[in-house]
Amino acid sequence: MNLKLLILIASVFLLGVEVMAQNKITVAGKVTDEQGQGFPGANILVQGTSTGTTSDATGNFVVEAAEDANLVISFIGYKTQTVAVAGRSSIDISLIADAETLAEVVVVGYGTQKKSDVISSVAQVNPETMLKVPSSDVGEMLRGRAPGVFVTLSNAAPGGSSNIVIRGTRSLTGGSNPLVLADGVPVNSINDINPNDIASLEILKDAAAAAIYGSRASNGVILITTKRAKVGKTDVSYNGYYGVQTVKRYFDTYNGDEFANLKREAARTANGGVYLPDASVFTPIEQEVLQSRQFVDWSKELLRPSQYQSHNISFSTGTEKTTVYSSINYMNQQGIYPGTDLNRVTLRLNADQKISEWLKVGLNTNFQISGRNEPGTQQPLISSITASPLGKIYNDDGTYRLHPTGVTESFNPLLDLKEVTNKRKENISYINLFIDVTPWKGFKYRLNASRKSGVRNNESYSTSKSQAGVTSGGFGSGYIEFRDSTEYQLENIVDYKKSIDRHNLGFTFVQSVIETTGLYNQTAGGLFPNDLLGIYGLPSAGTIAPPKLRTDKRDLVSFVGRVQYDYSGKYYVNASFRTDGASVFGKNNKWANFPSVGIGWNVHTESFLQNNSIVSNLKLRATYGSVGNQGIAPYQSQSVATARDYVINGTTRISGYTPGSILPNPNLKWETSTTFNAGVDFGLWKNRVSGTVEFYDTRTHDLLVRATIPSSTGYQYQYQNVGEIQNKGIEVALNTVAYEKNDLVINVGVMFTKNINKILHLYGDKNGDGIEDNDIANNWFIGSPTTVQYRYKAIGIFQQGENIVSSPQPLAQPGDIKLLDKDKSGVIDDKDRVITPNGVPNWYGSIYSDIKYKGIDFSFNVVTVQGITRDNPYLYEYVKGGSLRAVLNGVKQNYWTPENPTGNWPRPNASNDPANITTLGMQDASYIRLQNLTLGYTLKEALTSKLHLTKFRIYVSAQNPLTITKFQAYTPDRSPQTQAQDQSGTGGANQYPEAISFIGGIQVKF
Amino acid sequence: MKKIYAKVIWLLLLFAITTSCSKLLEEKPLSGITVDYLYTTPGGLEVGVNALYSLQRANNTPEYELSPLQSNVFFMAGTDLGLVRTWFDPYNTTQLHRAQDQAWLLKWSKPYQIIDRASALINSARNIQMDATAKNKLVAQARVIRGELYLDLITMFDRILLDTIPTTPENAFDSVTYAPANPADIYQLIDADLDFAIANLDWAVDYGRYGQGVARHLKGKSALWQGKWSEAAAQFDAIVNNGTHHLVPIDQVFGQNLQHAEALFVYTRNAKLGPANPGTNNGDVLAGGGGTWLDAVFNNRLYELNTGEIIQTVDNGGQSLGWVYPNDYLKSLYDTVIDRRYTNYYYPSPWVLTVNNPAKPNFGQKLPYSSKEKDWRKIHWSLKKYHDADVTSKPLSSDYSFKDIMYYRFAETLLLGAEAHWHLSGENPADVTALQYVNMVRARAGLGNYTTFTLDNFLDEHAREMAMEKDRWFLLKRLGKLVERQNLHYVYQSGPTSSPLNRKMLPYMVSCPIPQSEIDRMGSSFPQNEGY
Repeated sequence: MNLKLLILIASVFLLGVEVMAQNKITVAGKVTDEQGQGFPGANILVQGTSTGTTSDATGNFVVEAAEDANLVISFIGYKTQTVAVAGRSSIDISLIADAETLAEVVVVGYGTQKKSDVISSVAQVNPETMLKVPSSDVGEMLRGRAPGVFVTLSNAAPGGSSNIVIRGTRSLTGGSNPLVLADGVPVNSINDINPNDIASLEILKDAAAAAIYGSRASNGVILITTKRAKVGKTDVSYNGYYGVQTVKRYFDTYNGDEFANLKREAARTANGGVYLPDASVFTPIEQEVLQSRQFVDWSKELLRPSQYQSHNISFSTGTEKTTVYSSINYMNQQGIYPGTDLNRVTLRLNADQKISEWLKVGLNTNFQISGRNEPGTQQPLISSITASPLGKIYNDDGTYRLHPTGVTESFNPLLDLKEVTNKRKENISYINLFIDVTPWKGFKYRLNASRKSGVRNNESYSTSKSQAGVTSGGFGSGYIEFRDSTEYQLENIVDYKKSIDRHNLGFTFVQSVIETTGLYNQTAGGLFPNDLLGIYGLPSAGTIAPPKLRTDKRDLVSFVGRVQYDYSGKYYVNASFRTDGASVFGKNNKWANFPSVGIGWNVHTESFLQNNSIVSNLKLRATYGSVGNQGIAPYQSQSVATARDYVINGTTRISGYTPGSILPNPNLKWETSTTFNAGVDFGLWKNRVSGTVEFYDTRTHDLLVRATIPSSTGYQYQYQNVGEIQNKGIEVALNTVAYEKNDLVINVGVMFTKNINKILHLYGDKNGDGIEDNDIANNWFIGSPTTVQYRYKAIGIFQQGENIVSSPQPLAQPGDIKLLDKDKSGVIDDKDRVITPNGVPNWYGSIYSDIKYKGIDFSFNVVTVQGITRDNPYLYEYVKGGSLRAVLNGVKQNYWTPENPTGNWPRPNASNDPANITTLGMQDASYIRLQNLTLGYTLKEALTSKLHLTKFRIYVSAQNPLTITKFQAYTPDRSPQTQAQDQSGTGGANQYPEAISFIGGIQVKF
Repeated sequence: MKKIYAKVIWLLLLFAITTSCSKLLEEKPLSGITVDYLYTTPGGLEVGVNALYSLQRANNTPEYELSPLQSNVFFMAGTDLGLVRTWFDPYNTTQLHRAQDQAWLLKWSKPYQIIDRASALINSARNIQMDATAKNKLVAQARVIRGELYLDLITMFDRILLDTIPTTPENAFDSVTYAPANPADIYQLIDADLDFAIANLDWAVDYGRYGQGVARHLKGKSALWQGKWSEAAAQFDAIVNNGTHHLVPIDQVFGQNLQHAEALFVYTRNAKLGPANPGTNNGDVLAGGGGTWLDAVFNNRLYELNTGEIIQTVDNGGQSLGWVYPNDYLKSLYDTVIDRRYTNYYYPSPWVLTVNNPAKPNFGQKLPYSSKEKDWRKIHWSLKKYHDADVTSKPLSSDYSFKDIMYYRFAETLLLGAEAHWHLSGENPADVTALQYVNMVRARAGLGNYTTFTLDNFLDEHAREMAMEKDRWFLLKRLGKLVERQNLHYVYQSGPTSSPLNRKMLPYMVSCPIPQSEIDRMGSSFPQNEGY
């Protein structure tokens, strides 16, 4: 089936617009609000007909109705009123805000529900609080905003993103990213959406809520609904800010004198404990700098405060037939690493056209154009730590010195600033057309068709003077790469609601097809004859590597059914079922089924609580269901041979192909996560204190695992479905209006999450020793979290005079690391390694408060992550300056010397890394962070209207101004990359320092 | 009525767009070829065999550093002739010499991977319709590689698996009892593979491919390991007598161009067919390969002398690392005046160099002895066998070299031939052929003839000729001399003033540790070598 054709057909339907009308007597009137002001945009409907209108800008309306008809007047957030015409030609109505229903609609999969009807675990994040975080990353805006949602930094560079993990890691290799949908369309990145466009954001956390999204929903689902215009209202608003960012790093490096001492100590150890004269320890440059004391602080030289800004204008207008919402957002961010920046424009147009009473068409479009400069920041950032403070920045001729101290391992971090460019341009477009047919009461059919495409192009060039250029003999090198992905989705959604007496029934049926195609292509060249054209000189490059090319296609075909039943808003039973067929699964396992059930009880509606003055809301609910994870790339279930060419006779290239190191698996299938979720929602004293407590237990089985298999098979890995993981946890969200008197409102909220992540099973007991086998190669252990390190444990430093010879490490020297002999066997062997969770928090939470006093608003948000350790290669890796050889500078530690026996780091040694230094890598990464602090002032209405505005607010805000952590890196949020990851390029540019930002902004509404 | 009609039409129209073609779920790779092609077509057989060369190159002469390089440099430097200054630590029971070390995993897993690919090609070739001679030539290359790999495996690990059935998803999980194969069965397979190769490979082949010479050389080695002296002698004699391979002048042996008669097998590289930027570690999958660090690893950094009198030049090797060196014992074996190998296989002593930094007042004069530093990183006797004299293949300020790497050569054939004849003659010190072969090697070096052949003087000659190439460790192991000689001469020391660290090779270490992770994967039924 050609999806493109379908969408074309659907768009043709959009063109026909026709209107029908009927006539009776004319009723004129005015709708007002509680203050008596004209109420624009209220809906006036003649009951039992499709005739209706909306009030104009001053609240007036005219409608034709039968003399004995009833008028139904409504507006979202206000109580609906029914008024009998009773022959009158003039009727005035005052609308009363409905505190209970205000913003109480919750978006769920394929529909919306009243909050009181929701019985699964759905967290809402208020878009307004999100916007308090001045960031180009929506993920960052979600940090600390919902229990069970763990946000960590992925890449702090401009345009970077976060990892969002909902309720713990459920997969070993299948990925942890939630499925994000905007208006029913899956998005590639949550950052494709302009946060200013978000009308509501819901996070579906339990399987029952997410099961309707089947094999993609295992990691939870984030539903974004974008803004639409309201009938009869015209709004123009501007929201903008400007700010500066500065660097914060959570470690010190050795300064000039300290580094000189480290070097002397390291040389002394290598020289059998005897100090060498400085002339033998230091290079001529170092000696010179030691004399002149012109020490270099490389990070100060490299990093800079930078500015950033965001401007957003939205326009929204609507008539009875047509509503249009459009917006434009411009974001400009310079990075604190010079040369990095982001320019991003996001445009949106959401339109609705009523064709007749039962036919409506709509369009959502989202375009994002962005340009990013992200030159290879990784090596210079490492060099800014490892370059010696005893070096010189410049050569005598004013050019950058390649090796600041003359030592060839150590490069000048500033060298590449002007010499390496990497421009990334990206175009993302979403077009989503839908047609709503509502022919009969309670019945709704929607055809939802969408196309999304992303085109990304990278141009990277290192000149002949860059580090790469110099080391390749003074030639430039670079590459151009293209990525293109397109996804079509077509959905038929049928919804039917029926109430019989107090029995309310809802049915949903969905049929859906998604097809995604991708193409990646890279051409790289080296030995450029000159730098004149930069990367555009590629055709004349001395070497042009064979182009890299990958293309793939994946399809997903699905059927969904759901039944919702409730009795009088009191007792609820829901059930849903989804079946997914996915092309990426092995040929023997194409189809997957995902059922769910849920029950709920609105206890406060019972008569025994009716006259209670304390409990205003009490709901008990429980769900059970399963969702899947198809986190496998296309073709992984198949045997594919890749190119492996060779050269003979010096220059003749011969073609070679061979299967990779992964053995195919035709039985490969999805992971299934089954969740039991139980929750209590409560509200006390008219919801002045409200909250939710939830408990869940998720078991994920048939884990997609790149299992290591015996090498004697000729393969190293096979993707398999094995084992089981458990994520069990408790989430608490509490919100109180702590004070509310005399214009002062203080709102305080707390969130707490504890998740226990554990591998329950892996491959079973293959070796027959009665104990289930661990997977040591992958660091997977039964009963431990999914990410751990398995290493010896350092318990101190050997001291002089200690009886080392009869210790488990008889060959050790004083100053060496002492290891734990876990099994007390008297030798350090394999069995002494210990498991330490890596990046798994014990608990995390946040406290936030909003304070309003007249026009002033003040808010803050503190987030904390506790009981977490992370691996920190800066503490042990030679290339990151961690191994105390004093060839490179590094993160400052209290190292052992005979004169400093209390040092907790081993004795420096110039000739080799201290034995077992990696055991010092696991470091406490808990933190408490003041994430956001905002102070705003909204102009009084009287003043605002004089300016012909409806709202004017100015504010200042600080992001991340304070973090308390022991983790010695650029962020406590993520382990820096290891050398292997640096080399393989996995893990993103995560050494990029996290910034502290200060902004000022204004919000204006016309 | 009209309205209902319209509604129904709309619904039907839209609903009709329901699709559920299960065809959508069929998956066909778009940018890779299916393995079926490799195993069913003549073209597939050819590209499949070509790929084995690339896999072998990455196995034996890998790009970049870390474990892949360490696992090979171990056999070059971890002998009686080597000195390790830093970077890794052979025979350290808490570091390299453990079953957990990545280096052993590589030396175990990569051969099995290549063996599996070779076996798949060898087996599937039976059913491929094509010219028999052409087919046999292709199969012969796969078989010589498989034989070579099994010989490597058994001589490194002693306890190994034998499996010539290629793995498929269907048979991957057949119940297997993992147990060490009988060495006799292994050698039988090695010999059968090599015999097939000898029968089907030409003597003269494209530069970079396996020919009959290398097949016989390997067969001779296999025979030596089995104590089949006459078979060994016959194979080495055949190479000597054929004439395709012979000794070349000493300055050509490790010259820039290795396409000469002494080379039996060379791993080839080409910078222009390699990665755009050699500093990125992904070149070995490309035709030209990735850059190796073998030149840099064995060479000191004179250009770092505090006096700054020496700057990087092509002659002095440009950028280098100085992690491992030839040791003083090796130096003591040379007559440094007469033996041409001393000047051709090693970088010259600093004290014959002239100051080449034009900014220095003594430019052009002899490097003064006062410039000497007690830092072996900067100044030490260095190996030149992997020297790259082409600045486009190894830029001055780069550790990466794209020079071809000599892997088997005729001088070794002569030395092993000499040994084989000596054994064959009942260890007769006057064996004519043994003396003839060893004296050919000596003569080329400018030395006079041996008149008696003893194990000791054979090992001395082997050291002088083959030092820091890969065979020394295996030769000593085969002769039962490894532990004794290693403990006498191997050095692990960072500089002249630091005391040498005692790295005692214990007798069990003649068998490399079987990777613990592999034993784990095999379900622990496979026994570790004693001692680990």
